[in-house]
Amino acid sequence: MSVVPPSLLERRLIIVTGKGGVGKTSIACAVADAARRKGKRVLLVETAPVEAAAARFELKPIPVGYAGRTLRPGLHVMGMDPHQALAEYARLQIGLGLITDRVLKTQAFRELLDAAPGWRELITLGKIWQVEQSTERGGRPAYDLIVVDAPATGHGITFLDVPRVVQQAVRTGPLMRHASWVEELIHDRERTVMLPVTLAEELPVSETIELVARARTEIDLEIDRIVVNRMPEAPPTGLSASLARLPKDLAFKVLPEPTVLAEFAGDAIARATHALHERSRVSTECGLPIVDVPVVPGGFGPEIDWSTQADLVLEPPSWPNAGNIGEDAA
Amino acid sequence: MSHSSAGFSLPEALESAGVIVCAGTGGVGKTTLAASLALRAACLGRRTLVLTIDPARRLADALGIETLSDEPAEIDLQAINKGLRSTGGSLSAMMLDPKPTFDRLVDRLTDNKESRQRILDNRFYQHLSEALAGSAEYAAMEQVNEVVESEDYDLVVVDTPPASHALDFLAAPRRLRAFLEGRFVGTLLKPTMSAGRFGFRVFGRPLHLMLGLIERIGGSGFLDDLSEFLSAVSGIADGFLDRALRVEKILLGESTRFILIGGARSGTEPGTLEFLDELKTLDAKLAAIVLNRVSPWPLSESAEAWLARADGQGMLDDKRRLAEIFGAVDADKSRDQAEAISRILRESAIARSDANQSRSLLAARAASSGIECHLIDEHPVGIDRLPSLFSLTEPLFKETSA
Repeated sequence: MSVVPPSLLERRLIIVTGKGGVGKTSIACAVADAARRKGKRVLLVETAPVEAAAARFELKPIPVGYAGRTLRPGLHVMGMDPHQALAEYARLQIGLGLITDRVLKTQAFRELLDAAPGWRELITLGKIWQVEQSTERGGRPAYDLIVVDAPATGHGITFLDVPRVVQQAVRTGPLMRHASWVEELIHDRERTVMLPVTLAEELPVSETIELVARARTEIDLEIDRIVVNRMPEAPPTGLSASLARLPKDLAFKVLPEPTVLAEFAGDAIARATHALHERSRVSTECGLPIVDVPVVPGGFGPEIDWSTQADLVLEPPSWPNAGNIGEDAA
Repeated sequence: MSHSSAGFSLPEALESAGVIVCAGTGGVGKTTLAASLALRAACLGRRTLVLTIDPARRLADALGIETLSDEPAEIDLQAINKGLRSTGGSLSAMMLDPKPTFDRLVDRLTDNKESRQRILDNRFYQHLSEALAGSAEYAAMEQVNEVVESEDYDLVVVDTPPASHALDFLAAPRRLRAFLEGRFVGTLLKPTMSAGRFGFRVFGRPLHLMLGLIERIGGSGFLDDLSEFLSAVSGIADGFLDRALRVEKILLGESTRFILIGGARSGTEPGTLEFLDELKTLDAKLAAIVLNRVSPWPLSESAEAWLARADGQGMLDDKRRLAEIFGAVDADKSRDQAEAISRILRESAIARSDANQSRSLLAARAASSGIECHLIDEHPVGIDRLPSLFSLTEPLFKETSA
């Protein structure tokens, strides 16, 4: 179990997914920013209706919108808008101009779209496929790497399965053909990888185990590592024992009084030990190595330099040693 | 004390609301908070049911139930101090199935086998029902409808499905209703449709064009199948609409209160603010905003004030003192240990001040409606007993200094 997977930088498409609240968007930004600092031309695609990536880079973020914006040299961010993508698709791929515009504007068509399932996912993936294919003059790809901040876990799987479902429902015509192209990209184990993000906590880990199993059996996706976000640093051995020996009457200048300090630090040690267990659980159950991203004090925000933490995402993943955790002398 | 308008504060909601909905973005601990509030209501003497999504193992242990099912299970409240418990109250828990198949809904709404089979056999239904993500959330909410109408409980506390789109469980029935009552379905269901696509001519030009475009993208036979599907579904549309309206009426009704729960980490405010706006738009009755799982802070001095002086000579001196004392046990590691202690405090202070900032932001937005924004500390290793589940929501019922 010591296989080191290829670097994330060798992929074309990285689909970042995970349970809500685990820091999926932050990790997507971290991957994208670390890659562009390595000289890659990166596109970051946001799929959530609320834009969140620009707020990691700018104090007063202006919306990036569907056309997107270059946030840093080599890093372009776009906000997926299924309606705009659909209009673009109908115009470019089907080759209809004015007629399309007229149709798309009808009340009846909007009603249909509001209720019809699946098309948002399909058109989102279709747009990603189109960007992946697009080249500059001379045949060089427009982007070296596309990072997708995918919908939260449950929806994330449904999202990636839509091209297959559509091909079964629509057996002929351009839609079927296009869905098959998209599906081919998703299943391409060389180009595309899913990057699950979790926290070293019970529920996110359980959900990640389920996500990885479903992604493998239902969608047949390449997954080669798991990102454990906000991984607490392992407490130094013997810390609990040392804390227990603190004289009660010690007066600190900045730190809280010894009893309070010992209890507070004790809770933090308990959390860190629990985190180590959960991290090794997710690795063992999924049979995948782990990339740790520590807590960024203050968070992945514009006023914080989080490039050190971001670079860690590109480091080769490691296999946590299940036998060597929770060794604190507590 | 609370500036809320009458009947809108959290303590009042716990005593008199018929339904309390815990809403918010994913991963913020809605399930545990819902259970804690339900437990408090039960202790106030109310017959309470908590409808939860998949609870953590520890929470299920705390409630003393191995596995929850879609049948209510009564929780043994013996572990709760008698002084806290008034008589007459009870707590039951029931699991909302977050992935009910649409088949079950079709089952409930069709009265004969034939029409049921017609729907289930349609290729649109087969391939698209699994993609009806928002509708699955809606179907879970249907379970709310059933328990509320049963009148077996004074209060039903509802934990909501993790929604990537803010209020999917409310939006889904509205969307489906608008669709089924809309012009598109009306058009496709007209008898002329059975004449196939030549029938298009009878419609206005934009509609004609639209149907042509759909057929062109979707391939031949697409519309025929779609039309057949819709006519099959329209048979159950009335039942569906009726239930959708009832769920909406309960959730937005006079005796329902929402509690908006947000995460404490920086960068999570946009999602919570969006929820807040949507709840306002829907005219849902909000009782409180809670930032959950905030990094605890051990001092009465504010985290911000502490941070301002934590970088100076004082901290260096403290670390040296610690290392000296720790060194009596293990000289090699003492410096590492002292460093770890200082780091733990620092990171907690930064996280705490982030949470304080989020609270100000949310409180400012909610101020006009008199809604308070509370902080709940992160539990060291999670809730595993009824008393800790009870005390979890203690901060929501203390008088705030604001």
